[in-house]
Amino acid sequence: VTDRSGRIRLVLADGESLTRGAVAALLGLEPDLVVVAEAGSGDEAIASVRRHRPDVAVLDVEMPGRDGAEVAQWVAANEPATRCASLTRWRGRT
Amino acid sequence: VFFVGSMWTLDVERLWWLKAVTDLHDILGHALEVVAFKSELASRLQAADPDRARAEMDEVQRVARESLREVRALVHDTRSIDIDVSDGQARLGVVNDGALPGDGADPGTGLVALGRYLDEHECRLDGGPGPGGTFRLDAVLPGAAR
Repeated sequence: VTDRSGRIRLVLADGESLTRGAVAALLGLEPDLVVVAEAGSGDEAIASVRRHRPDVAVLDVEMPGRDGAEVAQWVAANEPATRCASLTRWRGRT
Repeated sequence: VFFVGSMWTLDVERLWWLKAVTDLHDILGHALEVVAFKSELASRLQAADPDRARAEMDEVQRVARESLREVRALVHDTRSIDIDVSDGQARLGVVNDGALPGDGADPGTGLVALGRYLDEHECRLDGGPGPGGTFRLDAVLPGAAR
């Protein structure tokens, strides 16, 4: 489950553009990861997963529109090859 | 009656502080998150891409200053609300830091609706231009109404 050069393909979804940009750049620095798309809302996340069929969808818990949990449910039902990881800023609050 | 009134107004005060604390948490949480990620990024980019690293640190500085400004504004807002609880009633007073003079032709609907709502609950709303171009609102909430 990797791209041609052996890297793990990610879609990153986060509602905060500053955070998303920084996290995408940090993930992109890892030699075995590649961020194939960024999404700023739950609906964009679903569209990106459908288009790119990444290995992993990194999903912010709180997003405009559909939240991280709803997107994860959609991914599990429609793109079961994509695994989901949750990203949250509030440790212990959600 | 006095006791019930005090309980209710204490709740108003507590809710207000809860809101202020939540706002503070949101402002600082968001800013510190961006600062943490962007400064980590800058530190890791320092050797490979110093221009990008500097741009990220400029952004860190901007976000930190912006959130400091928001926190100051929040503290200012919080201070400009008076809550007075006495004689079994609560009085809330809010003054903003300036409003454009109205032309009287269109009073809007917000204050009218709020006044009507308070009337229906045996409370009272007064308001109007204050000194220095400010606008003041006073709501009197008699505890006996509950």
